[in-house]
Amino acid sequence: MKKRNVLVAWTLILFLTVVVLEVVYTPYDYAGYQIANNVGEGVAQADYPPIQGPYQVVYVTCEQWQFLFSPHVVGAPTVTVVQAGVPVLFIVRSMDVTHGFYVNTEGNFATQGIQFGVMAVPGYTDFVTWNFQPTVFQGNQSLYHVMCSEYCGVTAQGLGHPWMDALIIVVPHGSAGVALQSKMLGGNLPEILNGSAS
Amino acid sequence: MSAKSEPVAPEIEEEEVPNKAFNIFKSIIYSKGYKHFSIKLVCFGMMWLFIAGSFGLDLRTQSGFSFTGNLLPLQELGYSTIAYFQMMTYHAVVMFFGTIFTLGFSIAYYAVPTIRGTKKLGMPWMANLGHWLVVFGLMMVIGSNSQYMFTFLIPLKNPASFYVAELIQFVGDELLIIALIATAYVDKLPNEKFSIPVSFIIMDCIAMGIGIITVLGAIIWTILSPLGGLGFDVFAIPNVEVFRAAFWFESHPLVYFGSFLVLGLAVWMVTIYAKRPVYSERMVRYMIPVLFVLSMSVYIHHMAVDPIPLWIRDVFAQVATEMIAVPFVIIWTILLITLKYTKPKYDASLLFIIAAIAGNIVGGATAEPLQPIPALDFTVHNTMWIPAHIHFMMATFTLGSFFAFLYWMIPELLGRKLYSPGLGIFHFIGWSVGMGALEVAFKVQGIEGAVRREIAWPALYEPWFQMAMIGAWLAGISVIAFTTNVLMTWRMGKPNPVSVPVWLTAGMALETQAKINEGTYDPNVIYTRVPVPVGLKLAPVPAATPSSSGRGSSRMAGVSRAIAKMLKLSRMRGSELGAQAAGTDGGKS
Repeated sequence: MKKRNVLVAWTLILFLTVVVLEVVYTPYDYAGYQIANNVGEGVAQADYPPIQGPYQVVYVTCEQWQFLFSPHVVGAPTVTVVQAGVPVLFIVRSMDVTHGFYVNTEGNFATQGIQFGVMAVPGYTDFVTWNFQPTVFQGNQSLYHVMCSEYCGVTAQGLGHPWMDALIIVVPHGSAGVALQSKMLGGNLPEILNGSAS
Repeated sequence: MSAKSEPVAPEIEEEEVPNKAFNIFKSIIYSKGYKHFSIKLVCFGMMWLFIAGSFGLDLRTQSGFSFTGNLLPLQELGYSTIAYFQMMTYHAVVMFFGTIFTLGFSIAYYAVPTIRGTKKLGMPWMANLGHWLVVFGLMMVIGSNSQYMFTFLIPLKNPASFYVAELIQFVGDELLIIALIATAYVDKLPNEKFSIPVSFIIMDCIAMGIGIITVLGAIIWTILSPLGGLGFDVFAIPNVEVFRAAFWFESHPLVYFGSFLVLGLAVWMVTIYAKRPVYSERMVRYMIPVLFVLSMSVYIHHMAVDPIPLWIRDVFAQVATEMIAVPFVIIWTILLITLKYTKPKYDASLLFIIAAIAGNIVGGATAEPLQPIPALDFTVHNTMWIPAHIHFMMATFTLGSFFAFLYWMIPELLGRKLYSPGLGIFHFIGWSVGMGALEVAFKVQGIEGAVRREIAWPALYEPWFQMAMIGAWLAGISVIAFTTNVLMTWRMGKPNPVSVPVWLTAGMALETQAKINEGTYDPNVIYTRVPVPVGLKLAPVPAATPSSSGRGSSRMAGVSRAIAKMLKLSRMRGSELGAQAAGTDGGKS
């Protein structure tokens, strides 16, 4: 094989890899959330994402330095409750500066923690969907920690970006879970919509 | 005799004493010669390294000792939570626009006139003015009381002095870039072309020049809006997304400034260590425009979780971010093939280059998950994964490759031999291991979901912050060793005046030989005014290689044999062509 051919082949292989990656993953990207794969996707959307089947809607308002949920737990505006197994559409807005709506659970070497997020940019509405899985509803894994992931200022120790956080409680799917959810939210359940797009 | 000389002496003293001080001041302010200017830039680059490094060490020490946000016992000195975030800003801004830019310029302002043989600056007044504007701007940044990163986090409101400081600093950088391009074109002959290092530097300057103009536009927009804090209301408050897109679109090449600047020199250094022409000189040159285009097309991956249309992200994040890996991989492959079967001298420079290649590969590969591809992306945006990527690319790769060339350049500038090569090895180990520990710790934290730009976090991240702290201090100590080595070289190194550096003649001869091998050599074109040999007496293929031993029976041995055979064939062709070209003057006109 001539030297030139080695380099040309090497370039072509890399180029084809890029193309394959792009072609394979593009449908996921545009769908945002694929109910078929049943794993949930945390893809930021500029437009309303197409979702198939029923989904819950939770509004998130970000401001310095707190996340305000609607609906939220009675007396605790930074805590919300959602059902497992039903995709959640978070509609995120910012009241002042750019924030990051970042949801995670603690991971370790053996288990990758769940992490997804989206920017909250003033003047824009941003969307992110996530299907909290019933299988992870065990013990403290039903709690999801929300943090601000974009630096948004600080005034003093204990007040500012590093301490801007919130909580999502995931209850089991089904009537028992809904009853628990309704109790915590004071009867103000998330709106359930039915999407038809795939 | 004494009667005649006595009245003369006081006159000389009266004139020389003030002139001497004035001349020293003038020579510091205004450098006419390229070497003088380069030395000045090295001094300031090291000064920025220490200033920005001290900010970084403060961050790491705070992180290593507290995960609750409790502050180090320095409150009497004004240390506070706000000061912590201010130092985070200053560490990034000063390390990048101070250390990387200034040291990069020092290398380029030395390499270009040296390689071309012109040995002079183009538009020295502009270069000096640009340098001092950068110094003034960065000093103003440090004193601006800002706690926000750069300017793209609008509508967070920075102090007006921060925006003005960045304006001054970027104007200075733009002047330095224009003067560097002028230096590359000064006294250009009609039949003169640029060697690989100079070509990379010019490409870099054009990309950076365009990038800085758009960043300047973004800053001016902010200053002339109510956000600027100067009372102007010429423009409305910038639309956040438009501003971020404008800021990143052309300013993204700035992150490649240092790496592109030294990439061509790294190619030469590898060929010199390998004592062999680069595997494919033509392919390296093809990568120059490829890098130029792609480096300015990957901007959107900085906005992967922003509410922007997906098709924009598809083009400028997914495709472009994947594609940018291709030219880097090709160049590293070529360099590693060039080094194969050779027995180079593993001094600090070569070790830094090898570590830089490794750092680029790891840093680049771990950047790919940052694309908005759900199947690959486990959402590490805005986590410590990002600082890890930045440190791989800036500390291990860019600054590491700077150190590699500085070990050649600084002794030449000082006219002395390097005081202690052993201290250079210590510097390499300290820097690579220290920064490596910091980068690995950051990566793990990113996977575990630790958000960046924080002062408080869950306790499970703390061991990694402690590891990062130890790594940072190790890297800091290694830089002190480097500085000591430089100072000792200056004061106690053996005199070794250099008129024409060996690396220049060797690098140019090897590049010429590569052209001869590939059939692209044109005797009518010159690349330097310095006399260099045309064609080389090539070293034979070492007998110990699997290809020549004949003992290899595995598939890999077969591949190795094929590559060695290919190299041998190309050398034979090169020797024949070299013999044909031996009658030319080699462009020494």
